[in-house]
Amino acid sequence: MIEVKNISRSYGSQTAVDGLSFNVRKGSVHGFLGPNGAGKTTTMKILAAMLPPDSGKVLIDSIDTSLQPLDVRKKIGILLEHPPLFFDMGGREYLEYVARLRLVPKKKVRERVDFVLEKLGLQDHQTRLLGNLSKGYKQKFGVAQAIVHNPEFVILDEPTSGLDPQAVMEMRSLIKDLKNEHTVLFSSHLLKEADLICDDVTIISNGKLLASAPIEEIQSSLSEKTAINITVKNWSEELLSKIDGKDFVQSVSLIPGEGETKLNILVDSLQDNRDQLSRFIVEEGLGLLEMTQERPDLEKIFFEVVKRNDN
Amino acid sequence: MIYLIFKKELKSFFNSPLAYVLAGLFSLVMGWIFFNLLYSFVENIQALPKGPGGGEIQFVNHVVIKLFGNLNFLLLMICPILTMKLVAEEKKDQSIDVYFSSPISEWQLVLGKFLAAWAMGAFILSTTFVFPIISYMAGVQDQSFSVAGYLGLLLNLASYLSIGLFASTLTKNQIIAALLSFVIILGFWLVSWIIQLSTNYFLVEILRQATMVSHYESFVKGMLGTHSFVYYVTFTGFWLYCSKKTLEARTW
Repeated sequence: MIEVKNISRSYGSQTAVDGLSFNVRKGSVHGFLGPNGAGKTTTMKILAAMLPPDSGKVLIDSIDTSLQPLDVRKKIGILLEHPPLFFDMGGREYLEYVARLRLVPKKKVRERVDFVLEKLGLQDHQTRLLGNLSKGYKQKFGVAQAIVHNPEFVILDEPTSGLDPQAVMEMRSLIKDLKNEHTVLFSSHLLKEADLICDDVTIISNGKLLASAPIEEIQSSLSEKTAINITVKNWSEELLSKIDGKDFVQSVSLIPGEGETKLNILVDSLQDNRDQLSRFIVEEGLGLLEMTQERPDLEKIFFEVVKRNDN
Repeated sequence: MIYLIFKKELKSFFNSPLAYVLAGLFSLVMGWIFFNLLYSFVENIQALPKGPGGGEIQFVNHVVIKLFGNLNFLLLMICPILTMKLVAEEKKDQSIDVYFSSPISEWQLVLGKFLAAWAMGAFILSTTFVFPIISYMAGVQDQSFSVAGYLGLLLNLASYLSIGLFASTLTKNQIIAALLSFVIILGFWLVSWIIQLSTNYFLVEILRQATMVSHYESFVKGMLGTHSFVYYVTFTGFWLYCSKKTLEARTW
């Protein structure tokens, strides 16, 4: 588990991280979100024991990153925004070198590198010079170096940045796949991406924590309204006032169709009201055809959170 | 870990055409200088004063010492080029993050890189080993001056390279790193020349002991003093320590 406790970090007079606290659960994919310049990279460097915080502390499996940075680095693999590649080395040669630097026993290096090359689909590029690879493959070798020593925690800083759509898809599925063996903390300013991949998210802005929780929890707690879409077979106008009268319903709109009516009901998102609504529909004999709840996407939530914070 | 970094860096040197160009140019220039020194020695051998040691002493004075003086001067040119990319390039393309995210210390990184540059410098110097061999075949039996000279040269090389490594840790720009190390090394040379103008004995002696030039001259003249060894170890160690501190400065 990663425990971030009230860390701050400044560069001269500029504060990059300001009293940040959050936890990363073991075995989860944790999204670290914020606009450009929010302090994500600085925080990630602190987590990987590459940079000490000015105050506060980070515990990686109870090991303090400031006190035992070298021990922490054994447990962590990190890919910062630019993959740290030696362009005059071949792919395999590079991974073997990094594996040895990260204390993989000499006998196991080959096996481990083979595994990583296969996992990332890089076998055909293992002899090519890293400097001659496309950006997508460089990024993949960047991920490969982060996991070659089989760390418990993998930190990826904007891993899909600058990739083409195909490479982005591959990278996303790779990150999901990493979850089976590692705890993944990954940063992005693309909120849709986090929505697709993450279990938990931490949102920061200007170095300050805005929210940190499982995605569903954030979605329900930070968004004031949830839309429930219901399609019924039978409908009569007098039912509108009955639904509207329920204390958790904020508004109802109707879309009449052929042989069915669609209702868009905005409810208070702090509680799940689907049960009450479905019971009402059955009791009234409306003939329930469909009921779906719209999850507010992370993008909306993010802007809402930032707006609240600014206020 | 130091050996691992040393091996990688050395391989990187030998994979680069720069190493071969440097070694080629170095041996070409030194070959030309050696030829001229020999030619001038042979031309003037009759006119040279006869000393108690005979022709060998004359050879040492007029060829060996001058040869090592020139070798040292060329090191001033070569060392900044050898060291300029050691850290600066990795800082620029951020590949240095591989080390900063691995369980290795700054000392290990600095020593691995320094030893690789030293080995590379020694390789370039080795192209001149042919000169003592030629002089031996020509009848100069006593090669102790050459051995002492090469020892001094290796220690001088270490001190220049440590300065070069330090300069490379300061910047992301290789050209600036090379210029900076050139200026620092040249600064020590200038100090050793300027102090000759002073009449203050203590000042002269302190500054003389502080620059590598006088220690190197002792080696070339065959005077191997413990204080010179201590000087070189301390001097090189100081600049390596500065390099380590500069690398640590990223965390300040």
